[in-house]
Amino acid sequence: MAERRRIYGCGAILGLALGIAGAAPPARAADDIRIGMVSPMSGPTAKFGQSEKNAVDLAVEEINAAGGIKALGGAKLVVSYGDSRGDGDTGATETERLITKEKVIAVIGAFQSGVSMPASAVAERYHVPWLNFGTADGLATRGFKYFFRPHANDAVKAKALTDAIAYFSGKTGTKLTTAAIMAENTDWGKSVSVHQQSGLETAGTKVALLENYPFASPDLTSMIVKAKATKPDLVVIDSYLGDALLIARTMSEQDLRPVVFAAGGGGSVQPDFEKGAGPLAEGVLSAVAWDAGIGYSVPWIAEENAKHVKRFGVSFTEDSASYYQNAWIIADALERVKGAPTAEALRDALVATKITDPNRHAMLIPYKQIAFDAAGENPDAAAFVVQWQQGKLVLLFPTTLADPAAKVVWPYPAP
Amino acid sequence: MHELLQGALSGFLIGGVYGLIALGLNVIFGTIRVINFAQGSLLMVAMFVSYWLWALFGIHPYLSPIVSVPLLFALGYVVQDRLLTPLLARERTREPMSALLLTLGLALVLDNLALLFFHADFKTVVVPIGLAKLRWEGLIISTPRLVGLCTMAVVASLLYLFFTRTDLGRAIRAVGQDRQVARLLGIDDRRIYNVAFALGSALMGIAGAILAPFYYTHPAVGTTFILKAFVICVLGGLGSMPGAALGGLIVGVIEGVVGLYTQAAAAQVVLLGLFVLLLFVRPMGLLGVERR
Repeated sequence: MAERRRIYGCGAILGLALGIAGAAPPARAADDIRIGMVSPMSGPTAKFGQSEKNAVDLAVEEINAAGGIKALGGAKLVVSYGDSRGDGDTGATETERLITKEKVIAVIGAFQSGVSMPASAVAERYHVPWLNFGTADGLATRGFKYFFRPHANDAVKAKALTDAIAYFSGKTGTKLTTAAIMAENTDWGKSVSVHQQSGLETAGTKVALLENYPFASPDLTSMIVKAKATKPDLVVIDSYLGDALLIARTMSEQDLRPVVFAAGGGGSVQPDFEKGAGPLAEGVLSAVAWDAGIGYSVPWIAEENAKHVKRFGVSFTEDSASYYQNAWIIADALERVKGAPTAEALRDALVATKITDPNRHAMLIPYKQIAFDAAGENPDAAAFVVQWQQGKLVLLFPTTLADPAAKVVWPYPAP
Repeated sequence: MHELLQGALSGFLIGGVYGLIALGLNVIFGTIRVINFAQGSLLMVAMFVSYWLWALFGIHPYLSPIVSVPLLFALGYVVQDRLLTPLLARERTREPMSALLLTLGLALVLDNLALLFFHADFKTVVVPIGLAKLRWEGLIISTPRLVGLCTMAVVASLLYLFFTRTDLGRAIRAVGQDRQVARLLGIDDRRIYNVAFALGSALMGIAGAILAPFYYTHPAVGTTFILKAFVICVLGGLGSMPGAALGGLIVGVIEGVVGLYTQAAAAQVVLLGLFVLLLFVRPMGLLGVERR
């Protein structure tokens, strides 16, 4: 008797459970689309990794709040994070983990070109799209099919700098006859300096010195003495922060005062450069992949940046803006995916990307168009040129985006 | 010609700074034969002390040794007494491998603690002397580096006198030559090791103060100078204070001059090539004493 009651009891509970399960809404997990991001969340470049994470979180929140991926029934995006620690091997294993364990269908990464190189190779092996941030040339010349770089690479940034210099020297009526380029001897420094050299020589400036010096040198006086001997009108440096400071100070000490002091990017746009170099920073021109000054001519960008400042206390940076852009590009592609949202289907949709509307959030970094060529590069990627003026970075080039009231500081004032 | 002189002069000046760092290493490496991989990290600690004293209290870096020297002396003493000595007590050989590994571990700990607390930002001390220069016969002399050179000369002389004229200094050299015999002669070798390590660390307080006005402070700054310091110690002769000073100046001048005619990286190759040649001819270094 008791046994039969127990069986009925179990049966009732089982029936009730099944009924509740059947009546419950379908499991949310099946609808979510998981994407991954790899960046240096710890280690010496942790500041960048953290800001990149903030940007992706912000983008994904906005995408989901706007209704998710409408073509997939309002599916929401979810992010899985990988910490590269700034190291190539760690970045590669994290990418593998995101793909195999977290089952992401795309990865955004990785800030350092030296990490992007092996990590994107892992994504390629697994046929998972890799949305890149990292400017080195070599990233896009490997014949990869799953590699996408929407942003300006070294060639584009170098061209922006040399174009800006040519423009302003024309406007001020200055002829820059000789130039000295000093770049650190890492992959980035070596590749960007070569592009700068060809850009300058095309514009009629002779590059009398191109030196690749060891990154983090204790002393660079000899190189500056050599550069000074060429009597350069233009000095271009491609350095990370420490060396940029050392060079600026040594130039001042050795009385090397060019008409124009420019930088290919890197350390010279960081606030610590201005803090450390003080009056020596005034007038330094730098190429960047993004600047908050763009908000002047594109109002929604100013609003978006203000939103970012309110939430995180700082503006977007060129790298975090790129991560944000990459997340939105993935969302755009997901809307066009044929069939189920697999990595392969996403890749096919990404290949067909064509975004031209400047008000789309993928255009946080404004280009004429976001599309990808066979190598995964964006032929319309552009870079911008800023200048330190009174302790602030002012966007000067392209002039169509700059504040018309902004004036170039020319020549380099060098106290 | 003018460039050659300028290159040589600037090299001579920075060589003074290299020599100062090498002196600190030489006190440890050259006397008690501990290969101190943490020497660069101790320099980094000294630079951060100088930086924070300036950033928080406006104290000029040249005054910071008042704090950094005793602080690093104490740190070095404790490291030797609590970490290295127990290790050395277990090993009977004179140049134990595990001490090297321990100092390497210490370096990693110090570097990463600095990263944790101070982040990877490059910090710069901005004081007027940082950009000051003197002019002489059309050549430019960097004032902060000149200060470094003079400080190095003074420190080298004082150390030389210390090691040759004082009992403590001679005791350190004795322990370095033969620890067991020194102990038999009544020298407390444990205390001597502590003092030697502490002294080598404390000297980084002076070097850090010298560097702060013209070089950036960063958790990885130690590694920039430390390899050169090792080369200089061996070049000048282990245990020889004038040797380290001379070695530093020679390295600086070679770098400064060769760097004018080649890329900076090639200058390093030339420098190290010459160093290796020297060791073939004179393995004990320029001013070192031949060991039997």
